[in-house]
Amino acid sequence: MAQKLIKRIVKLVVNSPNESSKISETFALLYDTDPNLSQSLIYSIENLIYEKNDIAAAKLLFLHTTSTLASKDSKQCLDFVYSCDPLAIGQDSLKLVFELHYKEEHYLASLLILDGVSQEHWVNERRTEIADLIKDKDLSKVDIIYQNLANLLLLKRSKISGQGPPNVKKTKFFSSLLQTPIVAWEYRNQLGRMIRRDLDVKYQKSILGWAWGIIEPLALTVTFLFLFDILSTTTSRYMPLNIMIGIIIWSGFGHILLRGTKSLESNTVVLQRVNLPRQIFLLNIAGTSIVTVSLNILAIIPLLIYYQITPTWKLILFPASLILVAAYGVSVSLFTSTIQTKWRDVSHLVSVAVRIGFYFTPVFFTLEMLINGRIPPEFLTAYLIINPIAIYLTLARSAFTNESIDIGQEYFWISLLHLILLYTFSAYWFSKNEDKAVKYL
Amino acid sequence: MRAGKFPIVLDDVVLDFPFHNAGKTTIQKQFLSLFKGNNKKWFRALSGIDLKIKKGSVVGIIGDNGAGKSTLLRVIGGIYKPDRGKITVEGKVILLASLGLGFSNDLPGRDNIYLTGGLIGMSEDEIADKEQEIIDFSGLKEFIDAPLRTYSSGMRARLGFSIACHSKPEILLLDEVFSVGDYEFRRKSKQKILQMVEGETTVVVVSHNIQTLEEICDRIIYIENGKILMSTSKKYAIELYKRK
Repeated sequence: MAQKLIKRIVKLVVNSPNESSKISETFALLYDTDPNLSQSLIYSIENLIYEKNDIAAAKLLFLHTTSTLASKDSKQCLDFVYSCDPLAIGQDSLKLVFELHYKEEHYLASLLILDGVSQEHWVNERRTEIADLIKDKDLSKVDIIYQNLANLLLLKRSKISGQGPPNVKKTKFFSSLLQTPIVAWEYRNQLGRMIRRDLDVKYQKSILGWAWGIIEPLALTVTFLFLFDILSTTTSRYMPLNIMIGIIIWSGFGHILLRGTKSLESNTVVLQRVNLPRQIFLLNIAGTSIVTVSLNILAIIPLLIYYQITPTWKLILFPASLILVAAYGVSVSLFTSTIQTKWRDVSHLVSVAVRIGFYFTPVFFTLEMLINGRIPPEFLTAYLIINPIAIYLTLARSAFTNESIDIGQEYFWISLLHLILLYTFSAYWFSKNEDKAVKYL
Repeated sequence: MRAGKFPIVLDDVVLDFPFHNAGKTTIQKQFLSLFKGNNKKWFRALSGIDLKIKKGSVVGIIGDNGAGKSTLLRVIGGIYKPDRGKITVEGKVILLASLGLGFSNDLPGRDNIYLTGGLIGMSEDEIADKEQEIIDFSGLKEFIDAPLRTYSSGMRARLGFSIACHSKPEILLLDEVFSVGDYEFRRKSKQKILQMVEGETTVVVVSHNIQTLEEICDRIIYIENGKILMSTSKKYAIELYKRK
């Protein structure tokens, strides 16, 4: 409908420019069908100027558009004038624009337009009138405006733009909590692909490839066994197994923390180009860690055979505790990754924390050894509340060794509560600050 | 084409950036700045952008370095949220910058098609369908199986452009993509853009290559200091830009 009307108008303007009433009538019709008519007409006007070389028709079309819009939508009218080709602007339409600016109290713009219009008697009167009006207004703006006008006859807009109210981001508490799991589900295919890429790339160009994932924990296990043999008199039965499980899981956890903290920083290129949920890189890292740990844990099979352990239903505790550990890593990283973009100190801090944590968490010893050690019980309680990883690790070990530990079950629920509170805080923090964090990249 | 349909509308958009002085801030300076009061920490990258872009048009953005062209593109692409003002973008947006979309350097080009395709929202089947088409258009031939780090910047741009085009975007944002490509690539991509525009894709191009803009754009937006100096027909804007 609107297209047809525009064609009709252009035809009218080109063929019978004197039938002014007919043209205005069609314009009124057109505005009713298409309130955004100015943009469509800009193209028609340019077409008239550059393709058909009919500037008179373009000027007429411009004048009629301006007069229609001036009465209907003054903002659009000014928009139209300043985005249309200046060749189409004629004396009559300039007067119209002047009246509009004047009506809207854009005195400077009015003044400048008057300069563009030829010297008629009303021009001089109006000029003094406006000059009086702007006398006590901010004159530094005049310079800016004249600068902008250096090349243009007209000023784009007299209003000082960019003074709107700041956008305040409303972060909904509950939806911020659901954000990360939703992203993980929606992007599961892509995440799978990214994890596969990470694994492919990790051992590219290496001869031993996958074996490296096992060599490191194996070497560390041997080292710690050796140390225990020298330093300690009592070792538990499953010591090598326990150390190996501890080291494999801790290295996965450390990996999530270290790389997760840098997850926004190291993906700057992608984040500045693709509009993605920003958690995706963190989830990618966590996923890669979970897969790596699950594969590396296969290295304990020879030990299981050696100890003649037959897996029971308790084996399910291993994936469960692995997921809890990963969730803990993700929760911390959601918080640290956003700060990392502003202060690069965070990653250093995290790497120190991971190292210290290695010694303070029962990684190369067991929780049992800690409990039976020389720690006062009240400190032990505090320790278990602060460090849920200790509990998750012990859980993972008991999946294989079937050994039960004599700490109360309530500590498990406390560690879970710790995790939930941490996640709640981090997830809320992340969705509140992610937009700002991206700017620091 | 329905008249008066604007997939991109910006209303008085303002974007502030933090001042980067990486490596130069010391604790001492940070501490002192607490007492010196609020010294300027933000600068205005975009100040009050009003813009309406019509469906199926090709709009060029010109301006000096640092005028805010790429930032504007990123705001349209949804990467930065405006600090003031409002923006509405309807349809699937793809932003393509000169160095590709987010490629993995160690993987061959073919794997990168899948990776990047997934990142910009194509499904696995969709990519498998288009794979050959993408490779043919990029003109990479046997290099498609070479790791990406061996590619030249032009080759990257070709692959990136090829993936972006074949993902059927409704809005395509191109940031200096043509500057690294050779003549043949420019010719081909120009054709492709015009072909996409017929299919109602809206294209916004940032480029210093006036000639390219002159050939493909309907309108030109001239940006200076984060403001739209003008948005007008291409002949006039380009004339002005050259004269400057």
